[in-house]
Amino acid sequence: MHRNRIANRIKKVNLIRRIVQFTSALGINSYIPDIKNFSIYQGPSKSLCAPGLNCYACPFARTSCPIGSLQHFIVVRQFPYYVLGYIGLVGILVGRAFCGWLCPFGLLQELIKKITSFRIKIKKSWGILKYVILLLMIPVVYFTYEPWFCKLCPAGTIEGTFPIMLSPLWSELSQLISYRFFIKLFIAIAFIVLFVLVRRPFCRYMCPLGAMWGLFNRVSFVRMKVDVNRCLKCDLCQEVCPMDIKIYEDPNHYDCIRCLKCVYVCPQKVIEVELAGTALIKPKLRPVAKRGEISG
Amino acid sequence: MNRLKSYIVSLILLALLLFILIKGVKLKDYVEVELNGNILCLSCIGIE
Repeated sequence: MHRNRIANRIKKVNLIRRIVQFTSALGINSYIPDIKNFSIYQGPSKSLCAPGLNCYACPFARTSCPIGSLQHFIVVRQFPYYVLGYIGLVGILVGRAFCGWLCPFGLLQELIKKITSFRIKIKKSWGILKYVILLLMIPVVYFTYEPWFCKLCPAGTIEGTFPIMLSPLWSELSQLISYRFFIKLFIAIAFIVLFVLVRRPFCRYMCPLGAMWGLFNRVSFVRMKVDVNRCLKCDLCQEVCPMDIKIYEDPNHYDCIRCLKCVYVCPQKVIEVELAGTALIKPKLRPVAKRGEISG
Repeated sequence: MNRLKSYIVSLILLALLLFILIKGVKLKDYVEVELNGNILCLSCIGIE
Protein backbone atom coordinates (compact mmCIF):
# COMPACT_ATOMS: atom_id res chain seq x y z
CA MET A 1 0.00 0.00 0.00
CA HIS A 2 2.74 2.41 1.06
CA ARG A 3 4.91 1.27 -1.80
CA ASN A 4 2.12 1.93 -4.31
CA ARG A 5 1.48 5.36 -2.90
CA ILE A 6 5.14 6.38 -3.22
CA ALA A 7 5.41 4.78 -6.66
CA ASN A 8 2.35 6.78 -7.77
CA ARG A 9 3.88 10.01 -6.54
CA ILE A 10 7.11 9.21 -8.40
CA LYS A 11 5.09 8.47 -11.55
CA LYS A 12 3.28 11.78 -11.21
CA VAL A 13 6.43 13.88 -10.86
CA ASN A 14 8.06 11.87 -13.64
CA LEU A 15 5.07 12.44 -15.93
CA ILE A 16 5.16 16.20 -15.33
CA ARG A 17 8.90 16.26 -15.98
CA ARG A 18 8.54 14.19 -19.15
CA ILE A 19 5.85 16.56 -20.47
CA VAL A 20 8.15 19.54 -19.80
CA GLN A 21 11.15 17.74 -21.33
CA PHE A 22 9.25 16.75 -24.49
CA THR A 23 7.73 20.22 -24.84
CA SER A 24 11.21 21.74 -24.59
CA ALA A 25 12.81 19.24 -27.01
CA LEU A 26 10.01 19.62 -29.57
CA GLY A 27 9.90 23.40 -29.18
CA ILE A 28 13.65 23.76 -29.73
CA ASN A 29 13.52 21.34 -32.66
CA SER A 30 10.29 22.48 -34.28
CA TYR A 31 11.67 23.56 -37.66
CA ILE A 32 10.61 21.44 -40.60
CA PRO A 33 13.27 21.67 -43.33
CA ASP A 34 12.30 21.86 -46.97
CA ILE A 35 13.12 18.44 -48.39
CA LYS A 36 14.03 19.68 -51.89
CA ASN A 37 16.21 22.64 -50.95
CA PHE A 38 17.52 21.18 -47.72
CA SER A 39 18.99 23.68 -45.27
CA ILE A 40 19.03 24.22 -41.53
CA TYR A 41 16.92 26.94 -39.88
CA GLN A 42 18.53 30.37 -40.00
CA GLY A 43 15.82 32.62 -38.57
CA PRO A 44 16.16 35.10 -35.69
CA SER A 45 15.83 32.53 -32.87
CA LYS A 46 18.98 30.77 -34.15
CA SER A 47 20.89 33.64 -32.54
CA LEU A 48 19.65 32.52 -29.15
CA CYS A 49 21.06 29.75 -26.97
CA ALA A 50 19.08 26.58 -26.30
CA PRO A 51 18.18 25.71 -22.69
CA GLY A 52 20.51 22.71 -22.84
CA LEU A 53 22.78 20.86 -25.23
CA ASN A 54 21.09 20.88 -28.63
CA CYS A 55 23.24 20.89 -31.73
CA TYR A 56 23.24 23.92 -34.02
CA ALA A 57 23.51 21.58 -37.01
CA CYS A 58 20.37 19.62 -36.15
CA PRO A 59 18.09 20.19 -39.19
CA PHE A 60 15.15 20.83 -36.86
CA ALA A 61 16.90 23.17 -34.39
CA ARG A 62 15.59 26.70 -33.98
CA THR A 63 18.32 27.69 -31.48
CA SER A 64 22.07 27.41 -31.04
CA CYS A 65 24.01 25.20 -28.64
CA PRO A 66 25.46 27.30 -25.78
CA ILE A 67 28.77 25.37 -25.89
CA GLY A 68 29.00 25.70 -29.67
CA SER A 69 28.28 29.43 -29.35
CA LEU A 70 30.90 29.83 -26.63
CA GLN A 71 33.52 28.20 -28.87
CA HIS A 72 32.39 30.34 -31.80
CA PHE A 73 33.15 33.51 -29.82
CA ILE A 74 36.52 32.15 -28.68
CA VAL A 75 37.42 31.38 -32.31
CA VAL A 76 36.39 34.85 -33.56
CA ARG A 77 38.17 36.50 -30.58
CA GLN A 78 35.12 38.22 -29.14
CA PHE A 79 34.28 38.21 -25.46
CA PRO A 80 31.15 36.05 -25.18
CA TYR A 81 29.03 38.48 -23.17
CA TYR A 82 25.72 37.09 -24.35
CA VAL A 83 26.61 33.38 -23.93
CA LEU A 84 28.25 33.80 -20.52
CA GLY A 85 25.43 36.09 -19.39
CA TYR A 86 22.85 33.53 -20.47
CA ILE A 87 24.63 30.53 -18.89
CA GLY A 88 25.33 32.47 -15.69
CA LEU A 89 21.81 33.85 -15.38
CA VAL A 90 20.24 30.42 -15.74
CA GLY A 91 22.78 29.05 -13.24
CA ILE A 92 22.18 31.74 -10.63
CA LEU A 93 18.41 31.38 -10.88
CA VAL A 94 17.92 27.60 -10.95
CA GLY A 95 21.37 25.95 -10.86
CA ARG A 96 21.43 22.78 -12.95
CA ALA A 97 17.62 22.47 -13.18
CA PHE A 98 17.64 23.08 -16.96
CA CYS A 99 19.63 19.81 -17.31
CA GLY A 100 16.87 17.90 -15.58
CA TRP A 101 13.85 19.63 -17.09
CA LEU A 102 14.69 21.21 -20.44
CA CYS A 103 17.82 19.69 -22.00
CA PRO A 104 16.92 17.57 -25.07
CA PHE A 105 20.16 15.57 -24.85
CA GLY A 106 19.42 14.71 -21.21
CA LEU A 107 15.97 13.51 -22.25
CA LEU A 108 17.50 11.35 -24.99
CA GLN A 109 19.85 9.71 -22.49
CA GLU A 110 17.01 9.00 -20.07
CA LEU A 111 14.86 7.48 -22.82
CA ILE A 112 17.68 5.22 -24.07
CA LYS A 113 18.42 4.11 -20.48
CA LYS A 114 14.85 2.76 -20.32
CA ILE A 115 15.89 -0.12 -22.61
CA THR A 116 17.24 -2.02 -19.61
CA SER A 117 17.17 -1.64 -15.84
CA PHE A 118 20.69 -3.13 -15.68
CA ARG A 119 23.21 -0.48 -14.86
CA ILE A 120 26.92 -0.08 -14.38
CA LYS A 121 28.14 2.11 -11.56
CA ILE A 122 31.07 4.35 -12.33
CA LYS A 123 33.16 6.02 -9.62
CA LYS A 124 31.74 9.42 -8.73
CA SER A 125 35.22 10.92 -8.76
CA TRP A 126 35.09 10.68 -12.57
CA GLY A 127 32.61 13.55 -12.41
CA ILE A 128 35.62 15.85 -12.25
CA LEU A 129 36.29 14.95 -15.90
CA LYS A 130 33.71 17.43 -17.19
CA TYR A 131 35.57 20.24 -15.42
CA VAL A 132 38.84 19.07 -16.95
CA ILE A 133 37.12 19.13 -20.38
CA LEU A 134 35.77 22.62 -19.70
CA LEU A 135 39.16 23.92 -18.59
CA LEU A 136 40.98 22.31 -21.52
CA MET A 137 38.38 23.33 -24.10
CA ILE A 138 38.90 27.07 -23.70
CA PRO A 139 42.70 27.27 -24.39
CA VAL A 140 42.57 24.50 -27.03
CA VAL A 141 39.85 26.32 -28.98
CA TYR A 142 41.62 29.64 -28.49
CA PHE A 143 44.98 28.48 -29.81
CA THR A 144 43.79 26.19 -32.61
CA TYR A 145 40.93 28.41 -33.88
CA GLU A 146 38.80 25.26 -34.10
CA PRO A 147 35.66 24.33 -32.12
CA TRP A 148 37.17 21.08 -30.86
CA PHE A 149 34.36 20.13 -28.56
CA CYS A 150 31.90 20.28 -31.48
CA LYS A 151 34.25 18.19 -33.59
CA LEU A 152 34.02 15.36 -31.04
CA CYS A 153 30.62 15.96 -29.39
CA PRO A 154 28.25 12.96 -29.57
CA ALA A 155 25.24 15.29 -29.40
CA GLY A 156 26.30 16.76 -32.76
CA THR A 157 26.54 13.32 -34.30
CA ILE A 158 23.21 12.09 -32.93
CA GLU A 159 21.21 15.29 -33.43
CA GLY A 160 23.04 16.68 -36.46
CA THR A 161 24.94 14.06 -38.45
CA PHE A 162 22.43 11.20 -38.29
CA PRO A 163 19.43 13.24 -39.59
CA ILE A 164 21.61 14.87 -42.26
CA MET A 165 22.82 11.43 -43.37
CA LEU A 166 19.19 10.73 -44.28
CA SER A 167 18.82 13.97 -46.24
CA PRO A 168 19.52 14.62 -49.96
CA LEU A 169 22.48 16.77 -48.89
CA TRP A 170 24.44 13.76 -47.70
CA SER A 171 25.50 12.52 -51.14
CA GLU A 172 27.43 15.79 -51.59
CA LEU A 173 28.72 16.03 -48.03
CA SER A 174 29.87 12.42 -47.84
CA GLN A 175 32.60 13.22 -50.35
CA LEU A 176 34.21 15.48 -47.74
CA ILE A 177 34.52 12.77 -45.10
CA SER A 178 37.93 12.30 -43.46
CA TYR A 179 39.17 10.05 -40.64
CA ARG A 180 37.86 12.62 -38.14
CA PHE A 181 34.32 11.78 -39.16
CA PHE A 182 34.88 8.16 -38.14
CA ILE A 183 36.36 9.24 -34.79
CA LYS A 184 33.24 11.32 -34.16
CA LEU A 185 31.02 8.45 -35.24
CA PHE A 186 32.87 6.04 -32.94
CA ILE A 187 32.51 8.41 -29.97
CA ALA A 188 28.77 8.76 -30.61
CA ILE A 189 28.25 4.99 -30.88
CA ALA A 190 30.30 4.42 -27.70
CA PHE A 191 28.11 6.94 -25.91
CA ILE A 192 24.89 5.37 -27.19
CA VAL A 193 26.08 2.06 -25.69
CA LEU A 194 26.91 3.90 -22.45
CA PHE A 195 23.44 5.50 -22.42
CA VAL A 196 21.98 1.99 -22.19
CA LEU A 197 24.25 0.94 -19.33
CA VAL A 198 24.84 4.11 -17.27
CA ARG A 199 22.44 6.79 -16.11
CA ARG A 200 23.03 10.07 -17.98
CA PRO A 201 26.77 9.40 -18.53
CA PHE A 202 27.33 12.41 -20.75
CA CYS A 203 25.79 14.78 -18.18
CA ARG A 204 27.77 13.26 -15.33
CA TYR A 205 31.20 12.93 -16.91
CA MET A 206 31.45 15.01 -20.08
CA CYS A 207 29.08 17.96 -20.37
CA PRO A 208 30.85 21.33 -20.00
CA LEU A 209 27.48 23.12 -19.94
CA GLY A 210 26.31 21.00 -17.02
CA ALA A 211 29.69 21.59 -15.38
CA MET A 212 29.16 25.35 -15.55
CA TRP A 213 25.56 25.23 -14.31
CA GLY A 214 26.61 22.80 -11.55
CA LEU A 215 28.98 25.41 -10.13
CA PHE A 216 25.95 27.59 -9.40
CA ASN A 217 24.01 24.92 -7.47
CA ARG A 218 25.26 26.21 -4.11
CA VAL A 219 24.52 29.87 -4.80
CA SER A 220 21.41 29.67 -7.00
CA PHE A 221 18.09 31.09 -5.82
CA VAL A 222 16.48 27.65 -6.15
CA ARG A 223 18.19 25.26 -3.73
CA MET A 224 17.63 21.88 -2.17
CA LYS A 225 17.51 21.48 1.60
CA VAL A 226 17.74 18.27 3.64
CA ASP A 227 16.86 17.87 7.30
CA VAL A 228 19.74 15.51 8.11
CA ASN A 229 18.54 14.92 11.69
CA ARG A 230 15.38 13.20 10.44
CA CYS A 231 17.05 11.44 7.47
CA LEU A 232 17.08 7.61 7.72
CA LYS A 233 19.91 7.31 5.18
CA CYS A 234 17.88 4.60 3.45
CA ASP A 235 19.41 5.64 0.09
CA LEU A 236 16.07 5.58 -1.73
CA CYS A 237 17.03 9.04 -3.00
CA GLN A 238 20.15 7.60 -4.65
CA GLU A 239 18.18 4.67 -6.06
CA VAL A 240 15.89 6.97 -8.08
CA CYS A 241 18.42 9.71 -8.79
CA PRO A 242 19.39 9.98 -12.48
CA MET A 243 22.76 11.38 -11.37
CA ASP A 244 23.34 8.74 -8.66
CA ILE A 245 23.62 11.24 -5.80
CA LYS A 246 23.03 10.72 -2.09
CA ILE A 247 21.33 14.05 -1.56
CA TYR A 248 21.65 13.93 2.24
CA GLU A 249 25.46 14.03 1.86
CA ASP A 250 25.32 17.27 -0.13
CA PRO A 251 21.89 18.80 -0.91
CA ASN A 252 23.35 21.14 -3.51
CA HIS A 253 25.85 18.77 -5.07
CA TYR A 254 27.29 20.08 -8.36
CA ASP A 255 25.72 17.14 -10.21
CA CYS A 256 22.16 17.62 -8.88
CA ILE A 257 19.84 18.39 -11.79
CA ARG A 258 16.85 19.19 -9.53
CA CYS A 259 14.62 16.55 -11.11
CA LEU A 260 12.79 16.35 -7.75
CA LYS A 261 12.48 12.56 -7.75
CA CYS A 262 14.21 12.35 -4.37
CA VAL A 263 11.86 14.94 -2.89
CA TYR A 264 8.88 12.68 -3.54
CA VAL A 265 10.51 9.30 -2.90
CA CYS A 266 11.88 10.22 0.52
CA PRO A 267 9.89 8.29 3.15
CA GLN A 268 10.68 10.86 5.85
CA LYS A 269 10.03 13.85 3.60
CA VAL A 270 13.22 15.49 4.74
CA ILE A 271 14.04 16.98 1.31
CA GLU A 272 12.55 20.28 0.24
CA VAL A 273 13.07 22.83 -2.48
CA GLU A 274 13.67 26.43 -1.49
CA LEU A 275 13.30 29.61 -3.47
CA ALA A 276 15.38 32.40 -1.96
CA GLY A 277 15.19 30.83 1.49
CA THR A 278 11.46 30.07 1.56
CA ALA A 279 10.05 26.57 1.05
CA LEU A 280 8.81 26.15 -2.53
CA ILE A 281 8.10 22.40 -2.45
CA LYS A 282 7.75 20.68 0.92
CA PRO A 283 5.94 17.32 0.76
CA LYS A 284 3.96 16.12 3.77
CA LEU A 285 5.21 13.20 5.84
CA ARG A 286 3.92 9.81 4.64
CA PRO A 287 4.63 6.25 5.87
CA VAL A 288 8.03 4.62 5.35
CA ALA A 289 9.07 2.48 2.35
CA LYS A 290 12.07 0.15 2.31
CA ARG A 291 15.07 0.23 0.02
CA GLY A 292 14.53 -1.93 -3.08
CA GLU A 293 10.78 -1.36 -3.16
CA ILE A 294 10.94 1.58 -5.51
CA SER A 295 12.63 1.83 -8.86
CA GLY A 296 13.35 4.96 -10.90
CA MET B 1 23.23 34.64 8.94
CA ASN B 2 25.33 32.48 6.60
CA ARG B 3 22.26 31.84 4.46
CA LEU B 4 21.56 35.56 4.29
CA LYS B 5 25.16 36.17 3.23
CA SER B 6 24.94 33.51 0.52
CA TYR B 7 21.74 35.03 -0.87
CA ILE B 8 23.38 38.46 -0.89
CA VAL B 9 26.21 36.91 -2.93
CA SER B 10 23.55 35.40 -5.24
CA LEU B 11 21.92 38.81 -5.68
CA ILE B 12 25.25 40.44 -6.53
CA LEU B 13 26.00 37.66 -9.03
CA LEU B 14 22.52 38.02 -10.52
CA ALA B 15 23.03 41.74 -11.07
CA LEU B 16 26.47 41.15 -12.60
CA LEU B 17 25.23 38.42 -14.94
CA LEU B 18 22.21 40.47 -15.98
CA PHE B 19 24.59 43.30 -16.83
CA ILE B 20 26.77 40.95 -18.92
CA LEU B 21 23.73 39.51 -20.72
CA ILE B 22 22.28 42.95 -21.49
CA LYS B 23 25.68 44.14 -22.70
CA GLY B 24 25.89 41.11 -25.01
CA VAL B 25 22.41 41.69 -26.40
CA LYS B 26 23.06 45.43 -26.88
CA LEU B 27 26.29 44.68 -28.75
CA LYS B 28 24.32 42.24 -30.89
CA ASP B 29 27.33 39.96 -30.60
CA TYR B 30 25.28 36.87 -30.06
CA VAL B 31 25.78 34.07 -32.50
CA GLU B 32 25.49 34.95 -36.14
CA VAL B 33 24.37 32.40 -38.65
CA GLU B 34 27.34 32.51 -40.91
CA LEU B 35 28.57 29.01 -41.27
CA ASN B 36 29.58 27.44 -44.51
CA GLY B 37 27.53 28.92 -47.26
CA ASN B 38 24.56 29.33 -44.95
CA ILE B 39 24.00 25.61 -44.88
CA LEU B 40 25.60 23.77 -42.00
CA CYS B 41 28.13 23.79 -39.22
CA LEU B 42 30.45 21.18 -40.67
CA SER B 43 32.39 20.76 -37.41
CA CYS B 44 29.18 19.72 -35.67
CA ILE B 45 28.50 16.95 -38.16
CA GLY B 46 32.11 15.79 -38.24
CA ILE B 47 33.15 16.96 -41.69
CA GLU B 48 36.14 19.18 -42.37
